[in-house]
Parts: sequence; C-alpha cells; structure tokens
Amino acid sequence: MAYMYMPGATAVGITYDGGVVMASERRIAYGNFVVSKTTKKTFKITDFVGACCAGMVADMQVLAMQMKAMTKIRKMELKREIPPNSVAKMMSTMMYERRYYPLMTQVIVGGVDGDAVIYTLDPLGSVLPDDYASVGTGAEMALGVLDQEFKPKMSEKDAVNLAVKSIKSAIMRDNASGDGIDVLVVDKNGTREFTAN
Amino acid sequence: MSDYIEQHTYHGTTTVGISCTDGVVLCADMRASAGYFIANNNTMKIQKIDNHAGMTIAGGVADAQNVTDMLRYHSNIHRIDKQEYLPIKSIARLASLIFFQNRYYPFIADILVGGYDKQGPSLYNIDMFGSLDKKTYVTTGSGSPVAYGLLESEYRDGLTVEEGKIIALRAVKAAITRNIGTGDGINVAIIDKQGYRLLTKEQKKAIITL
Repeated sequence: MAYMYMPGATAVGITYDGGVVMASERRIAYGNFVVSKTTKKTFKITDFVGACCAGMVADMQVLAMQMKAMTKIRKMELKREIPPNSVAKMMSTMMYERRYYPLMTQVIVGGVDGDAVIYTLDPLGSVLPDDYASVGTGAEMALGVLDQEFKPKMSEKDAVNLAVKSIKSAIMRDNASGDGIDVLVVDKNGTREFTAN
Repeated sequence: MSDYIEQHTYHGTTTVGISCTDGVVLCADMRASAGYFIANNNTMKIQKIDNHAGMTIAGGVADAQNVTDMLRYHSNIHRIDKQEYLPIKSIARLASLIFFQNRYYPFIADILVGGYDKQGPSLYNIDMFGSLDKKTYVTTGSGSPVAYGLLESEYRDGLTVEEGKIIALRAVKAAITRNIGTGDGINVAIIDKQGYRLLTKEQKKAIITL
C-alpha cells in the first residue's frame, strides 16, 4: 500500500578536487500524476556535509531533519565539525534501528573533511564509500553518463556540469524524474545551493 | 514493501577462506548489486575485526555491516579488559550466538571469521541461522558453487599462505567469470602471526591477471 506513495527520483553525488556536488531532480509523481514540481531532494546537513535522496519523500525529509538536529547536538558536545563519515554512520544507525520497518529511502551523503568523500546508503543502512554515485529510478541512466565521463580531481565547474548532465539524461528516459534540477555544492568554504534547468 | 527492499538493498558476493599452516587467507570480490543493478563496484567485503582477526561478508550489506560492528566492539572491549586478544573461536561463537538470537527474523548474511591466535590459524563459517562450522577451506555467496569447483580440486592439506592466496584468488576469479552477482575486482587479506594485512594492487597483480 505504501507503494502508492513511492515516487521515483534521480539523485547523483560526485566528488571533485576539493568538494562534492550533489544534485537531484524536483518531481514527485504518485502513479501517473505529478503531485509536485518543486520538491527539494538535496539537503544541507551541516555546513560541510550534505545529502541527496530518492524514495519516499516523508522518510527522506524526516531523516534529513533528524540528522541536522543530531549533528548540531554532536557538534556542541565535541566542539568541532562533524565529518562526513560520522554523518554517514549516524544516518546508517538511524536507518538500521528501523531494520524491521525500514525508512524507504536511498541516500547519498557527501562532504569535505580535508578530502572530498561521498557514501551511499541503502534503505537498511549499509554504508559504502564511493567517488561518484547515483540512486533512484533514474540511477541506471545517470550512471551511464557518470561511468563514461567521471574523472578524479575535476574542477568544480566540470563536476557541476557533469552532475546536471547525468540527471538530464535520466529525466529524458525516466517518467518518474523531471521538472528541473537542484544542485548542492559542498567545499571547504561551506555549502552553496542553486537550481539548474 | 518487501519487494522494494529486495530490489534496493545490496547483495551478491563470492568470498573464499582458506586456513593454511602459517595463517589464514580471506578473499572476496568487490561488487554490490541490487537485483540486476550493480550498485557499487568498489565494495570492501573483507573487514578487519582486530589485529589478529578478520571476516568476510556475504548477503545483505546492512545486516553484515551491523554484525561486523558488533564483533569489532566485543573484540576491542575484551582486548582492553583482559589485555589479550579475543580468541578466534570465541569471536566465531559470539557471531553464531548473535545470528541465533535473531533466529526468527534472521540477519541475511553468511560470514567467514578467520584469524591467528594462541592456537594458531583458524577459520569458521557462520550462516544466517547461527550454525558454526570450523573449516579448512570454504566459500560463501552467490558465486560459491563456481568457487567450490576450483577449490575442491586445488585445495590440499599443508598449504602455506603463499600458496593459499593463489588458490583463493583463482577461485574468486573463476566466480567472477561465471556468476553475475560477482565481479569488479578482488580483495585479499592475510592474517598470520604478524597480524592482519591486505594485499596491495601490485601484490595481487604479481599473482594473477585481474
């Protein structure tokens, strides 16, 4: 039954020289009906860690909100920034706690802690490190582009262009994805967000 | 919901473990798949538990990572408390109890635990229901039938790790070519009296063409 509220999506995360780019499209469709054309599926977690998600929207929003609060508390306890690997593991713990009633969302967590890193998490909370990744119904299409064109140590501009390009190709062939692209860039100076078409 | 989970969680593997005269070899491929989709091609399925012990994971990545965390935690706590390494036998028994406690909603994982302690090298296989088997050679995962084909004819008693690692690599390589859940490269770890070490790319290349 929850399937009715299981929209598709495409989200990608790419590391580049000094930062990460995360991007997602903005559509929510329940069945054939487009419910929203402006949904944000990229989330700022801390000043130096972001996330992008695919799956059930409620779950990803709650997950991002709780992570934002938990990292804020953890930062006050430790009096230092919370690195992306910690954020990924905290998120993994949250998801694994619900092993028997999972949060139906796939997540890419990315950020900078000296180096740029990203992690992918499945609905049960496995954590796998990566240089670039994609999740959602359009992931196959997006990875078709990423696998061919990703190079380590790209410039920020090239990375953003590649992220947008890969999502565009997913939008072209995936009914569940569309309506513009949100981009979140994280580097040592913090996060920046903008919308591409 | 369960078919959503089935198609979106990471699975698939071939892992090989060989217990040799002077240590243990653990070997695994690097692919994580979700259905037919290759979700990750750089997956570390051999995990270090402590300086003297390692494990391989097959099955659901989330479940297996959770078991890894628990074994690592208990091994560390024991070492700090008692100032000695937790014996491999105990790590394996602990893993088996963890699996059996979840008998009615099992961790979907099939693990190998291997290491080197006061008793010398040892290797165990623990399945998702908690059965515990001491092995001299073993393989788990979707590619295990293929890997067994090679192991059954190549394994013999009295192997050294130097010989064992070649057989383990060849077994996983065979699984990569004949099992679609397996692929994207091979990791090898050796645990002997010097401790736990992963082979580098160059060391692997010297043995086999990947």
